[in-house]
Amino acid sequence: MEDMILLSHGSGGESTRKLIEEEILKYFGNELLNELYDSSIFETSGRLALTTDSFVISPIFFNGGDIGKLSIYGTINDLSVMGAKPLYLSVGFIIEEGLTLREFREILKSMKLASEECGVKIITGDTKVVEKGKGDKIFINTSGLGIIEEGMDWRGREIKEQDVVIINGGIGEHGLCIMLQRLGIKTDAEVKSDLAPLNSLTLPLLKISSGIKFMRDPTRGGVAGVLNEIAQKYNVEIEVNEESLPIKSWVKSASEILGIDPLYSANEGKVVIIADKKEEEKIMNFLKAHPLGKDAKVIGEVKGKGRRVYLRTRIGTRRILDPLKRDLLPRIC
Amino acid sequence: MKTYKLRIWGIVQGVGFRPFIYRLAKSLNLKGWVLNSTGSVQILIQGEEENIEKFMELIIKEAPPLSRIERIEKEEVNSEELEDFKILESKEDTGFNFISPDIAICEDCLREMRDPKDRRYKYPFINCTNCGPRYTIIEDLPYDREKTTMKIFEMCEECKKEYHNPSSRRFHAQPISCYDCGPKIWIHGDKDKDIFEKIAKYLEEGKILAIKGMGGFHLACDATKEDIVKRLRERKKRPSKPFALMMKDIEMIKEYCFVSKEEEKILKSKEAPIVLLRTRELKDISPLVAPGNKYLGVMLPYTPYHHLIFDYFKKPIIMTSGNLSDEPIAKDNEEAMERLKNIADVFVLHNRNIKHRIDDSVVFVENKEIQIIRRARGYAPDPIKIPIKIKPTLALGGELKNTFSLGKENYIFISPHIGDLKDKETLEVYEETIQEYIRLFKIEPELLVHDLHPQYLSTDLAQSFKKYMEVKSIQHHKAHFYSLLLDRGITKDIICFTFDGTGYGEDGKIWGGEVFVGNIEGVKRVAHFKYFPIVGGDSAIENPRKIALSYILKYFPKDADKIISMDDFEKNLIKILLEREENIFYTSSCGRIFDLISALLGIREKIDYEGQAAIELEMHAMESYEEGYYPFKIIENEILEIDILPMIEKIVEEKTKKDKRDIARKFHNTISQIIITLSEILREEYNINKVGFSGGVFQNRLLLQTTIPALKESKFEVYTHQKVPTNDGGVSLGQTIMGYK
Ligand SMILES: [Fe+3]
Ligand SMILES: [Mg+2]
Ligand SMILES: [Zn+2]
Ligand SMILES: [Zn+2]
Repeated sequence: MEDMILLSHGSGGESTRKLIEEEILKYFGNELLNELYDSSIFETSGRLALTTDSFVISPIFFNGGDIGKLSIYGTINDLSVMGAKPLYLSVGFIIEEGLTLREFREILKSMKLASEECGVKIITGDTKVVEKGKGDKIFINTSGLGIIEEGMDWRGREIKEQDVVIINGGIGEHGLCIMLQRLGIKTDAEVKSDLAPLNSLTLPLLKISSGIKFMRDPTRGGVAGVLNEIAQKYNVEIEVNEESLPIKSWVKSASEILGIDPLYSANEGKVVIIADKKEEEKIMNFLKAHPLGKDAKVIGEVKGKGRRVYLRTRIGTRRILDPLKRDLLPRIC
Repeated sequence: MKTYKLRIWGIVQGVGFRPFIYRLAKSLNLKGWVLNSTGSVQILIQGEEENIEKFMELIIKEAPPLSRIERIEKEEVNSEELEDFKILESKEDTGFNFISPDIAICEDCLREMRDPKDRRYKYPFINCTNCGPRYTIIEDLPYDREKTTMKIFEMCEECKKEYHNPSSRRFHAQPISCYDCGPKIWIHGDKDKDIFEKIAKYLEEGKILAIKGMGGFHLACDATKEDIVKRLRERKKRPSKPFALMMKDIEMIKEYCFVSKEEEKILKSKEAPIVLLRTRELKDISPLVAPGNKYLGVMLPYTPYHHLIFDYFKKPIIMTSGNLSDEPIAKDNEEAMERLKNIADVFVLHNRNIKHRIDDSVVFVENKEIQIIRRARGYAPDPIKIPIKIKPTLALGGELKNTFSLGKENYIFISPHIGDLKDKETLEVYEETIQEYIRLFKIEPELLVHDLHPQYLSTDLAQSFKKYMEVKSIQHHKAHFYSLLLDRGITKDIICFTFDGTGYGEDGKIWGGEVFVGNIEGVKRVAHFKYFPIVGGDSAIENPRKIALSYILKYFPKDADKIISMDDFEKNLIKILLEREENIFYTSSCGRIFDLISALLGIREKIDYEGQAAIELEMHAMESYEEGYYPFKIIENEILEIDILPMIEKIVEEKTKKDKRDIARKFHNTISQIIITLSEILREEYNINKVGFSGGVFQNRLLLQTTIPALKESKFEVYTHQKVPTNDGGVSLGQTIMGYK
């Protein structure tokens, strides 16, 4: 039988030590983590950003990534959209008894590669094991600490009429890919999550343009969710242009049958940018030249005071985009 | 000596009406009393017949300047001899305001407009106290020129004379005007004087015109030019939904359509709505006006200048509302020139401003009874009188084809048709109109009612009011049920079939084929179509094929491919969704059953306007004389369930062998038979003889034709909607019941 994670791995005894030292440190090891103190201690100065996120996903391995990679990129992205350069991460595992060691190693490896790619170190962590049935294979929590250099903090820049709404590529891919995989639908190779780290995109972008007024990664709730948050937070009305939405054809056909609007479907490698109209060209040129931005599009515009988000449809009407699609109840009588 | 009871309706309160009546009665030596009651003044008058006659005459002639009498009821009563005339305390002075709907040009004005000797010969804005704009120009009450959009036009001496002369037909006619002092109509960017000749010329040339009307802009073009109709469809982004027509006169209408006595009366009525008429022969009218439809929506000219256009243009004109598909109708000159710039070639403008926009109303006549599909111009904002009294209530309606209702006591003011709240502009007009209604009708709601659906925009709106007033919800189909009761003044027990598209049910399922028994005090769901699954939310509703795929993959998993073509991706995905019960909803919707059959027969798999699949199914069925119906099962649970699986099995079997028109017909007959069978069962069980219909499905005229006479034959009393739409446009009326309970 395959080696599995057992309850004893979380007991704090010998097998816990073995799991940490022989598995986790093997992948994540660095001078700070290797010390295995109760806290990691380091020096830094400047404006810091701290974020945390927990990752719960089924299946844990999916086209385009896995829960490990997701847990690193997800937190990297939360720092990156705020203009913070990611420095350190913490990682907490909650493992359901029965996860195979092979699967766990694969996740660790994937996390190692992801954090190296982003130039961050994992400097503290925790592992717990729960009884079978009390979890869903593995849950991961990561926290991230980043540093915001001079001029990178976009907060406080006023969002106003004619500002443009930009996205760096196709929408809804992560959510729909996961949905299809959960249903066990055999799909083509192109059907995959857009999972990607945004630090290499947002940080240089913020450096070249001071016209960026807002950035957020549209994960849960999708692009429509983020735009509604903006509309309500800043009391502006936002118009999204249906025709300019970048949507891959597999996303379109899956979304039609599933009844999930890509605008409400999660993304994991996308950033919604609100920017000054004057900077549009510069920003778009930068994005188009970047591997994560080649399908970037201006998808909408800020329309002055208000609190609603609407879609200018292909036929020219303006359809309200609700803050949240709670579920799939038809409304058409 | 005689005694009469009088009741006078109109603007008769708060305008010095009672003192006027008192003085008048005294001067004629009459006895009795006068008092204010809800929306009217009541008078008891006793004396010599000839004095009473004089009294009646003078009421009309000398009524106070700010009053406006809409109607007088006179009834002789028995009474002992009275000693005096008194002003009594108000019985139920609720301080309502009433606003007249807009009225089509009257015969007298039309005659004057045609008279070369009249000073208003061919005057495009001729009107009198019996006709012309009202709701659309009123800014505030009491109704007075200064409070209308006519205030910017100062009356000339001639008009002033008429306005102040009690024996003139224009005595206190607020929109009174003439060439010298009134509004002007012109073609934008055109200096031509004979603008109506020019309009006709443009129509003849195949131009699309935006013409400012009474409640908003129309888009107009020659209905006989195929390529122009096509162009209008492309520009308006409206691929197939039928366009309304305006025709010169009733004779012209009769050339193209069958017109019954009832229909003729409605066409010529002061409301002048669009009437859906059975097409006799299209002749030169382009089939693109109403593709695949056996009815034409036709109206007669209702403003003076519509008539003037037909002096020069002798063919049917498309007159469709000036908007892009779901948007509200454009009303102001600049607004129209901006919003319609990509649609219209020519703009016909005038400078009588429209304060309140309103669409044309749409009605049809079936079994000699009127049914309103869209209640707007001519009907709104006339209140509906209901058989119960409610507290001040604002009912927000549903989501599509929406209206709201504002009412108190036994009067409900229903908004004009507003439309789909998902549309941004429509939502704005909805919120604006609610404010206008509260202001104009002086009803401050204490209760807000909304649909149970957790995701309707109106539900969101209602929730945001929770801090300020009581908020209640009511299930959609129960609101339909009460809507019928309030519409028809029924308080006693009735069996009601509520068949429509979809509404959120009390059990979290999607309802839409419901049978209720109940009365004004309470309602009980006694039967419904057996729940069946549909994948993919709202998108399935625009895509009836998905409804068919869901049903067939669920109930005919082995032969699905043979019944309806599908690709592997669709097939696998839908199968798994059905197995796992994910991303599906369960519904008892009758409307969705129509969609299912339409798609299954390959009649309509994807729609581009609401109800299209069902309408085209009906049109197919109309071409068959099939009398049989399909089997169905009624499962005896606590609530009866109607199972259509036996019918679908049969249809699947007949699909390849029989003409689809015959199948469509047999399907209609089956729904009809289901209604008849259930009526019998429920009459037996509950001892109720009244049967009513509410819900969008009952816009299906074939269904009404096959069902109503059969029910009547079985001695049922049958009730359909009369004053409000059977579709969701009537839901807000039903919701006001919450103000009673
Ligand atoms: Fe309905
Ligand atoms: Mg996050
Ligand atoms: Zn008149
Ligand atoms: Zn005049």
